[in-house]
Amino acid sequence: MSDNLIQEQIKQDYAYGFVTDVESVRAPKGLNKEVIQFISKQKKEPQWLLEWRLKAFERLQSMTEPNWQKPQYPKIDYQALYYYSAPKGFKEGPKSLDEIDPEIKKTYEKLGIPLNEQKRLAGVAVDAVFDSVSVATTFKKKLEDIGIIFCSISEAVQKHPDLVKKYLGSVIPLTDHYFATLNSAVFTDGSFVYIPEGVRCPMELSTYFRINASNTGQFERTLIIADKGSYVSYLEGCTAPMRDENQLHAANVELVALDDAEIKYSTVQNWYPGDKEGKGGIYNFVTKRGICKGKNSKISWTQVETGSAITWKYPSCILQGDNSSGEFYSIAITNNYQKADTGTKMIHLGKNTKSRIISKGISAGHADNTYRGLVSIHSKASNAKNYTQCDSLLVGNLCGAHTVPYIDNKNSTSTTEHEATTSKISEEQLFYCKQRGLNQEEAVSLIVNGFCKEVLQQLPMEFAVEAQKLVSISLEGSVG
Amino acid sequence: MLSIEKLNVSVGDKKILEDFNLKIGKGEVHAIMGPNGSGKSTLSYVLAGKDGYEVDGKIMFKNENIVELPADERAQKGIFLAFQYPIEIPGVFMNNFLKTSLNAVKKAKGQKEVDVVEFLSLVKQHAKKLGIKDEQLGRALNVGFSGGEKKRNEVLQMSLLEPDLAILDETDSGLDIDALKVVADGVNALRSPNRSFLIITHYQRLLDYIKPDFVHVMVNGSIVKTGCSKLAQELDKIGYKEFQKAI
Amino acid sequence: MNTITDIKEVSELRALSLNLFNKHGYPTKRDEDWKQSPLNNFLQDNKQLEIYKTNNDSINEKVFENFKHNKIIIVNGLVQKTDFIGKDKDKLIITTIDEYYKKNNKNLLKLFSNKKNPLVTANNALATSGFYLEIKDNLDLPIIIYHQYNSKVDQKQLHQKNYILINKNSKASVFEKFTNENKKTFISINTNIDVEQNSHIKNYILNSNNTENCVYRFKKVNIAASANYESFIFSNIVKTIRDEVEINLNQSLAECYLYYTQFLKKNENHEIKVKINHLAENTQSYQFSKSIIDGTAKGVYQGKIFVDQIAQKTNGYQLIKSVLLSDQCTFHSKPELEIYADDVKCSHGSSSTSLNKDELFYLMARGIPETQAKRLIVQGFLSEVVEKISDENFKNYFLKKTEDMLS
Repeated sequence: MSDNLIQEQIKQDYAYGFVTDVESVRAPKGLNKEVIQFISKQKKEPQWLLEWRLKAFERLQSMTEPNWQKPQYPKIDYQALYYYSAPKGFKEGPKSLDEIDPEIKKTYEKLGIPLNEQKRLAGVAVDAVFDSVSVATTFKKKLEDIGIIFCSISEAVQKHPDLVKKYLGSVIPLTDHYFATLNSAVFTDGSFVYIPEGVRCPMELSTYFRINASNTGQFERTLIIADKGSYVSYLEGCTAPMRDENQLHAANVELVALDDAEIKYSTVQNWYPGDKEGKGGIYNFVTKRGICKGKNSKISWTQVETGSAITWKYPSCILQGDNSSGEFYSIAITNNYQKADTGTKMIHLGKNTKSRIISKGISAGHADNTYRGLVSIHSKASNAKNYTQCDSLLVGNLCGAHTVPYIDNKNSTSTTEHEATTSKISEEQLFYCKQRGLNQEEAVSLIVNGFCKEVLQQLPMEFAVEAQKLVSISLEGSVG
Repeated sequence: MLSIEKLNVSVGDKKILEDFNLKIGKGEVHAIMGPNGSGKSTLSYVLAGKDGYEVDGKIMFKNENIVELPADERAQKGIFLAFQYPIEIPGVFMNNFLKTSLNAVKKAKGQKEVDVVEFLSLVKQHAKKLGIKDEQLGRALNVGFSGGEKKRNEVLQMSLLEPDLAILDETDSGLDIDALKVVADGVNALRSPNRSFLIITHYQRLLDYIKPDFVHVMVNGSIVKTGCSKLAQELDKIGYKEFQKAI
Repeated sequence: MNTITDIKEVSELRALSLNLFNKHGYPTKRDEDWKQSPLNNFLQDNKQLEIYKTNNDSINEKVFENFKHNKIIIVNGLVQKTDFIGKDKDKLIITTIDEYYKKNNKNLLKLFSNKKNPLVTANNALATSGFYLEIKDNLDLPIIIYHQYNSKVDQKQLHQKNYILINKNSKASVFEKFTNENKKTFISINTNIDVEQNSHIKNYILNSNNTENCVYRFKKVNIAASANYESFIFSNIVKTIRDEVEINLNQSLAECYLYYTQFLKKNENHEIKVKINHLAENTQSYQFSKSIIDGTAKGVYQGKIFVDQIAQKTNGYQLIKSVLLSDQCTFHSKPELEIYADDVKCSHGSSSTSLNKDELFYLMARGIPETQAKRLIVQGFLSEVVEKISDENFKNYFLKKTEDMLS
């Protein structure tokens, strides 16, 4: 089949691009002290947090946006953005699901997110973030019974200030880099999770993010703390309506794993990628970092990145505790004019620390896909081990696939291994599938899913099916 | 020749050998048989002096406790281990390796080291007996060798180094019947009143070709039964279950 | 043979380059390409080194190899003597770079084209010496270029600019043997190599310094259709060296093979930087590097394969292995791929480990003492790269060097 014919094939549009008609309360446009005070006041925050935000804002004045990444983007006018938007009538967070605006409820139903506990998917507790605020957290009660705290970060600030104060900014410091600092100044909401000592969280915790209002940046902040010997699996999904302008999403996610604890963090990111000519779409500039603070702790990142005009994130692990381990499994698919620059950092500080990186980049259309990663083994990290594998798949010859790994080893008892390949779907593979009765689309989908298998396997069941579909859908319309 | 007394070996918290005792006299051939995980290979590594084990007890070799000695000095004193999995070392060529090894052992024994010409004729002569081609001697150590070639290479080294005690760790594994015969013939040719053997094996097969004087059954890190070569045939019929139950 | 005279066109290009250099200054770790470069510190500490004016300096004959070869002896950047043998006399042209400029003054831009690399622009601006070498046919014997830098250049900086042209259908082995006997010197050597259609060049380099100096070698190699460039760099005793090469595979069936071995001890630093641009269909590149790092030494390997949109059927391969022997040494690697064509086969692998304990045990169990066993393993490890050299004589030469270096 000729490439042209393939290009003509099914053009599936972004399925989540509707706008929900809710009135919203917004902070005044622009970025300044007053707006930050407004946000803080709206959320009835204690003084220390306001001061913390202002410190970040002050710091921001002397910082510049990073410029080493591959995707370039037009200058963002930070004064033209709204930094806070909440559905009108939203006060402190609904007491029960009945209080939620029916329009918003409908939105989540359309997205397939079960806010209604009766119709819930078994075993997934959801925190839903609509623009800037958290609108609902399901299953709260059930979790509370075993001591798990799962709520919006705003609520955590009110009810669990000690935990928030202790850990907020402990993994991503205020001064980290431009977007992280911006987030620290203006973050509006996000999820908070605390798993007490020895507790194994019995269900998947999940947050669904949605950007609805226009000209609005979303700056959520997530903080997950797994106390000694605990375990939690957390899922994150994202969508946004179709708009012509680019919208900024600059989230910070911090994970803390204490002795023998394990955190599994999975993301399916399907923000609006822009149209076929590359107009519009989300700038997904996200800082995610976890620290394996305690011995034998483990943090595992899994991500399926199919949306956004520009994806720019490096979920990282600081392996501080002895015998701790970090994992990063990633699928990044870029199509049309999408750009992704993503990867991870594994910082080995403790003895016998292990890390494993599996990255699969798929590039189609005019897209650009970069894996960028750092494996750093410090001189005290005896017997550390790293294994990295990054594979790229190119579909068509107008796209690019890049691999930029940095490997620094300062300990002679440690081992690093890195492998990378770049290939395309071979005619032989396609022929073989077709000979067995599959059509072009099915064959490509099968091969791409096979290519991604190692990563898909890492996702919790509930997500794996969705992710697999997404992988196929994302490539439709340009696939060869 | 060899006397192991109250040998205890562990890795971390895991005990592998427990109060292990064994005596091997001059010229004797002993076989140790046992199920997987009974500690047979560990025993061979510990006798040869591999690092990474916590070792307690005595290993008397020719009336000297060698338990603290590094692997090279034990080899120089006459202990030879034929590895179960001979390691591949790319870039290190067979000839160079064999010559270095032979001269290190000769030097330690106070013998005259061999020069290149002597060495080549010596190694070819031994290689020929084992059916090892000259071409193989020009390759990197064990790299790209088949299972049979690797095992033959182990026997070649044994015949060059002329040890006093040869330990054969699962030398029969991965060999077809013809290769097994060649290897066994090689070993039998080395039998002498001054040389002792310790043959570690899972199956009795190899013992059809190399007749042992004593057979020991090893389970969970200790010898649970000792007998003559008939014991091996018995084991082949009844398996190890009986002995494992007893513990 | 004289220092570079002022030819108008050259002066203009120099001025332009100086401007560029002044704008940027010496590289620092903030420059992505120089992040881990061991040169940074030396250059920052020695900004004011006087520029060496070339002179007729005496030749050190002790380092001459005793096999038959064509000789080019360059002392402190200046060609001092040549000795070509038999028919090879008619197949070789060597002049100062200055002579070349005079004869080709309209065609010099490509020798000064680099605008981004601060040290290359410095070299463009400040080079006071260099040679032009043309190979016109198949050579019977190898060429050895003896690069000798003696104490006359102590505490000075020396910039040298060379151009090597390999004509169509030629074949040659060019061995560059470096001897450095000087202190606190910065030596920057910039060599352009054009490999024309269907030519085969083998370029071998031996680093063997004994002093506290800093060397930057930058090579730019253009490879035409069905031509082939093979290089091997053997680093034995170095202090602070950066070996950089940029290769353009300009036409189809162009190929390059780059081999490196590093054996770094004490406080030695060696950085390798490779950029390979696949710019045409059916081109092939191969990189294979092995490093042994000991003491407080630092090894760096930055390798990038770029594949242009039109460079379909590209084959790019890169393998970087290092073994760390001490607690204080470091190895940085950055094996990069930037790919815009879909029908390509590109892969890279990189590993960094300690000496394999099982290998060591195997050798010791055969009676080989620990130090000797380690040496054998190291020798074997490095020899794997040396074995790839396609010129049999030089392969044996470097295998011997590897053995000698370790004993």
